[in-house]
Amino acid sequence: MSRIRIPIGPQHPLLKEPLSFLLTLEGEQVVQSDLRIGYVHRGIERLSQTRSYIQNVHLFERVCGICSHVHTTTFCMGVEALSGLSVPLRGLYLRTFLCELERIHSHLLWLGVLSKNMGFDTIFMYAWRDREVVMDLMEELSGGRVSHAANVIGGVRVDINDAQRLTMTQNLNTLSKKITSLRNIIDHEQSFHARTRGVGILTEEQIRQYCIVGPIARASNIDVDLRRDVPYGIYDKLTFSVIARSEGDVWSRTMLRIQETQESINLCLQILDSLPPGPVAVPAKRRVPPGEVICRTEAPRGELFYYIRSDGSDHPARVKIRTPSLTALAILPDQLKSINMADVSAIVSGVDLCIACADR
Amino acid sequence: MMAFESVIEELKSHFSEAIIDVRVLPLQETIIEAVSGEVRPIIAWLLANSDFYHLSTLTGLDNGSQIEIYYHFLNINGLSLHTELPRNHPTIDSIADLIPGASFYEREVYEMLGVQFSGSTKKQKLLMADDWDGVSFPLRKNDEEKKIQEDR
Amino acid sequence: MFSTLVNKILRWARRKSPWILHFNSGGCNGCDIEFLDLITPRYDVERLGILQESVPRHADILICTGPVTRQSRDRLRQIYEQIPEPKWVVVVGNCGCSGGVFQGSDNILGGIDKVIPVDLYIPGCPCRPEIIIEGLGKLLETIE
Repeated sequence: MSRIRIPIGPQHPLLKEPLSFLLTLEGEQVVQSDLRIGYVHRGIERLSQTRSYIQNVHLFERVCGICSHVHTTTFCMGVEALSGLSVPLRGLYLRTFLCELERIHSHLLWLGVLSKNMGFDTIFMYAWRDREVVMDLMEELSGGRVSHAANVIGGVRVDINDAQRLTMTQNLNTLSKKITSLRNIIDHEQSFHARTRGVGILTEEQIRQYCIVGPIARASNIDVDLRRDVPYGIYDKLTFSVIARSEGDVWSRTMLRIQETQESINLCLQILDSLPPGPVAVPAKRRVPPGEVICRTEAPRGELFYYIRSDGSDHPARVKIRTPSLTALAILPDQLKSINMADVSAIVSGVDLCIACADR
Repeated sequence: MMAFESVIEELKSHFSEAIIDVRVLPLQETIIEAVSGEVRPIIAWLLANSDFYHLSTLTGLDNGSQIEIYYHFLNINGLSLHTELPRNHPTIDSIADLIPGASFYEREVYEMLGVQFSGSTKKQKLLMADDWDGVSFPLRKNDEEKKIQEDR
Repeated sequence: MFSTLVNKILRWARRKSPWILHFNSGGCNGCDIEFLDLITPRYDVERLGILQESVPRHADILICTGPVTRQSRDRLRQIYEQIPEPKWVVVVGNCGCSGGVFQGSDNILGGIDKVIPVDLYIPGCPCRPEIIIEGLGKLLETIE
């Protein structure tokens, strides 16, 4: 059978981000796929060396629009460790609250995009409609829907009063019911099962070899979550379950992310319920003492890694970022081998790529 | 599962000449300074004898006089291998056959700093544009930057 | 007289139902997800006749986000050339207007207007969906 090569991207309906594939097909079967990233490489690591730590908080928020807060959280954690700063408890609670809100919004966004790419526009509309509740909460907290500028070195610059706390609790309870009903729809939707069960399976061995992180790893029986295993912030004070499944297919990843969304709502409710009084930040000096630090957090897509080296001035000597999406990209060409062309959109969407994160 | 302290002790005894120093950073990360030629054997030992199989990433940086490379591993505890390479000819053995996930990280360190990973096969560009000249590595310090760093 | 009538109808159709193509030439996604919010139930621009297209040949308006990176420069130009006349280019977000927070980076060329002519700039980091709708409304008023 003769082979056809189909280029997809960088402008394509699958993702809102530029990424190009070259698929080699034999009939309906994909036999090989090549990937090209680099369309969103803005040279952020290089730029960060020319800016001060304060300016870099603003820069790192824009590595990715979807997981902006967790980037600045990780960076600020590292600089605070180098500077010997201890963030007040209320500040840590609010920082974590926004991290979990971001996880909910990211997973709902992903669910919508996956459904849209598989032709289920209804679930896309429901998921994004319910996501608006979370966007409103984030705007109530920080003034911004997508980029919040909530973190400062030394804590956060946002706060809420009791009236806001009550309204947010009510809205989160309503959202929890909506997520449950969304889950029921997907559970009973036979065509969703048909397009996702057994599709894009990744084995435990593949996950280990490619060092993949996040929900994709947890859906293939690798029970790792930095919030529980290497607790940072106030995660050691909160009660939550880490969801892990063993099927390893797109269905497994979908259900895992919906369950994680529900866990995150519970975490947010716990935080609102036990928010301690006090200041939200401590003052920080412009210059950071010389040294190096490595900090890892659990972003919505997995382990986010920052290495920061300071030379004693107010500019970092080196900041290295490794985002979780880069790990998923490494195995994508293998995932796209020996599959039907019709499954390409489910597999690519099921991986929850964030090319802006991967390219930096 | 071997305890973390035992891993460090075993490494120190197996590779006593290769390991120069062990230090601990804030946020509980242990850094092992090693001779660049022994990094691959140390990683092979870790994969065979400990639970450290998860490579978070490779960090490369140019400190003005040398190119430094870190290999960051994680298994509850963070363990990083650190080595230094000469600026004019930075070469080190690739570990992409031991850990397939390392290939993206090695390609990025090559594109940013010009480090040659001997034994690696993939030469396609990862982050740099198609019209990149292949010689101006973005994270290498030029003379002006080296002067600013010395003044600090 | 018949051709004047046809032209009148065409102009009314373009104004009443513009089809939009979206391209991200190197942005962080912030503006893209706010743009995608437009077709969701809260903002729902389809009631205004705006449809999101995925093929350049079907589009009237090209919405661009992000600074132009070296790798996406040629693709942006190609997409622009594939869209048939009359076409309009709308830039959403600070990065598309001027390079935004990434100004000074070696790998970006600057705003979208460094590569293709732009008809409307909507600043913001990221833009709110409301202001994108207002901007599109202003553009459609000028299509006469």
